Amino acid sequence: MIIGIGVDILSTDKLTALLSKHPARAQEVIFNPDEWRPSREKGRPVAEYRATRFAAKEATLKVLGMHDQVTYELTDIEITGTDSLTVVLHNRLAEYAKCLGIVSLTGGCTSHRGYSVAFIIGEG
Amino acid sequence: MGEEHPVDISGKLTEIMVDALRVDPALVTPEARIFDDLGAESLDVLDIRFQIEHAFAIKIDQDEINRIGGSGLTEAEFKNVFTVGRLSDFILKKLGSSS
Repeated sequence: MIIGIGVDILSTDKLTALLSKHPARAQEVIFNPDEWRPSREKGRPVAEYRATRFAAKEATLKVLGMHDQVTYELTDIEITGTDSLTVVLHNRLAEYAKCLGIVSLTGGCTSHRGYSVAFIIGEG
Repeated sequence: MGEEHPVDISGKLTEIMVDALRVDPALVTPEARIFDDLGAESLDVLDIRFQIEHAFAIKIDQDEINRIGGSGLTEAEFKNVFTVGRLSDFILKKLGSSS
């Protein structure tokens, strides 16, 4: 049963600019190591790969209906996969999703003409 | 002459808003809502957060941003109360608690 759906779109260049402006802090706050690591072998340019991760994190927050219900950082949302995505939640976000009855978070992403988009479906 | 805060929070915050959001400084009033009036999106709020951290030598958690304006708000309610003035007050409080 679908419990929630989220989608997000962002300018790939805008994320790249943020990462250039605040390289250490942005990486620390936004990305887990596997999300940050250059992944040209996965067939997607680095900038697009990172942007789709970010979009997927934002989409996940929308699935959860998050604002300040629980303490979290973006690194508590781990995005795995390349085009077909699976979300792994950590810490209080994982507990919160469980309370909502969500047992899986999956979705997809793509990039085109400077924009990266991701959608996530929460099922229970 | 009144006592001045050693750090010009308002002036610095305006600089940060103008840089992050590419808005006219005249629009950066205390009542201006950062999302709804100044056009910020989530990446912009991260940029603003990091610039504030650097400018004022403080560290800000995501939760602290989310709770500016109060707890238990929906996202729409938060966007309505997330103003430049409230952000300025938050910085002032943070500087006071870290000294």
